[in-house]
Amino acid sequence: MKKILTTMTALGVGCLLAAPLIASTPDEDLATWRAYFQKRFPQVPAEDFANGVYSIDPVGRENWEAIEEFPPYEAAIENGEEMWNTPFANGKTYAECFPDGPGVEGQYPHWDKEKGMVMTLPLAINNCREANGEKPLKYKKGPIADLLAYMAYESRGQVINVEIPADDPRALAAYEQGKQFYFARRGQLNFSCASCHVGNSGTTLRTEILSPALGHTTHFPVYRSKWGEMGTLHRRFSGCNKQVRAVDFPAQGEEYRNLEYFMTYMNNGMELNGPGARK
Amino acid sequence: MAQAPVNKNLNFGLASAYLGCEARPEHERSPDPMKTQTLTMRLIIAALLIAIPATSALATTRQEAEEVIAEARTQHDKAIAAGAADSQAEQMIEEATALLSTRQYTKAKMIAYWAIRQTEYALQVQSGAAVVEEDKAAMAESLIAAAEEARKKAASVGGEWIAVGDMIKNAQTLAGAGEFDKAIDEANAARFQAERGYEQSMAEKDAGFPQYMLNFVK
Repeated sequence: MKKILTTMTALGVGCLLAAPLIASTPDEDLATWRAYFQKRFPQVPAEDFANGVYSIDPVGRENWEAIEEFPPYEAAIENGEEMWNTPFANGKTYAECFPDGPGVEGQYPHWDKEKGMVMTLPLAINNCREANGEKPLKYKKGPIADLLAYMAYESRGQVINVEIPADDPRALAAYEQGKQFYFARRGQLNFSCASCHVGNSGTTLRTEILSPALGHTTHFPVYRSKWGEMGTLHRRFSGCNKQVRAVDFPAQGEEYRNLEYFMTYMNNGMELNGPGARK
Repeated sequence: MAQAPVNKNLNFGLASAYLGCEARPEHERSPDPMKTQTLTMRLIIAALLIAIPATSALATTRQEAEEVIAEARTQHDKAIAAGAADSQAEQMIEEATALLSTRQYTKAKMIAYWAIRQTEYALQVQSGAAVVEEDKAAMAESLIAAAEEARKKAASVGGEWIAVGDMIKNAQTLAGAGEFDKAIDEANAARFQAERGYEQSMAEKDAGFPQYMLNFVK
């Protein structure tokens, strides 16, 4: 009996030690992710995945291009610019928190070593507001989506380059949590994010073509015709979770920030093209 | 000036549809597809004429919702005076009132209706007109508590399903109105879903790149 217990313990410890060797690295994940979508949609040029479902739906693309001639997010950009330039009650502006100017979306999300968490742009905006004595904005829609639209517009063309610093294992843990969230089935319908946007990407859900996951974070915030207004990335996450009949998570909570970290890492090398317009 | 060629059959068909008369003499008529089309069009128009007003008649107006809320308040005041006030009914009246500003009149009316049911039951129990089935009431209470515990357990691992909270609330409402059998069913269903949510979350805790994805890129 003792011998069996010893053998089992040794095996368990061996497995634990071997686990990091067996698990894939973020770079390997990225290579698999890219290869999967490029093989699944060989007709789509790599950079065109940034256009979401319109990279694989020629009819939808025609409509979208027509919409982009008079973009529905234009008013949001103007409102956002006004917010950027309007001083807080203490006389300071957002520029004090973002010295590189409004076009900084390419720097987010990033691992904040000091805080030990993934820092997203909306969270940084609210941190800025609170540091200047202003109330934080709600995270899903409204003024924050306007300000993000302006900042995204000013960031167009920047190349996504999310880093997972090797000197802080918590960053890799956050990435892994985001990855687990992406592939975990949830809700009464037992769907994961990947069920629709990886395994069934390019097929239809009723009349809608399911977009490939590659390029999903490039164009936020978006004006969605379904919403009739602008919305943030975490609003979209929340909507997807509810659609599969799961209770959603708080916008800018740890779950969605880590998810954003993983998804944006998977888009490394792609250009930002937000704000966007979607159905 | 050149004149566009006219499709006479089409003209007859359209005229028939809109004027409701037959332009061709009886002997010229033949089994004409246009005739079927005309009939279909008339049927559709007739159905729409009935269905559209009927739809608006089904919608709850603000006034209707306010009336039911007012009735719920009156009943609740009566219960307070009789010492049989139900705090759940009071919460429901507040919830229904708050919904008015969001124009969810049907939902507000339904919640106010259930508040009335709750108050009526409390008054009946107090006056002796209804007898609480103690064993069923206790069972409903215990199952609702178990469902809530299961919901919290599922939520603690991020596995709560969306309907569970509402199902527990429904069970509480039903129990408050003395409908213990239905409350027991609802609480059991809520607990079932909560437990499945927890199991799902546990089963997925090591989720990663699926095998089909890895195989596809080989």
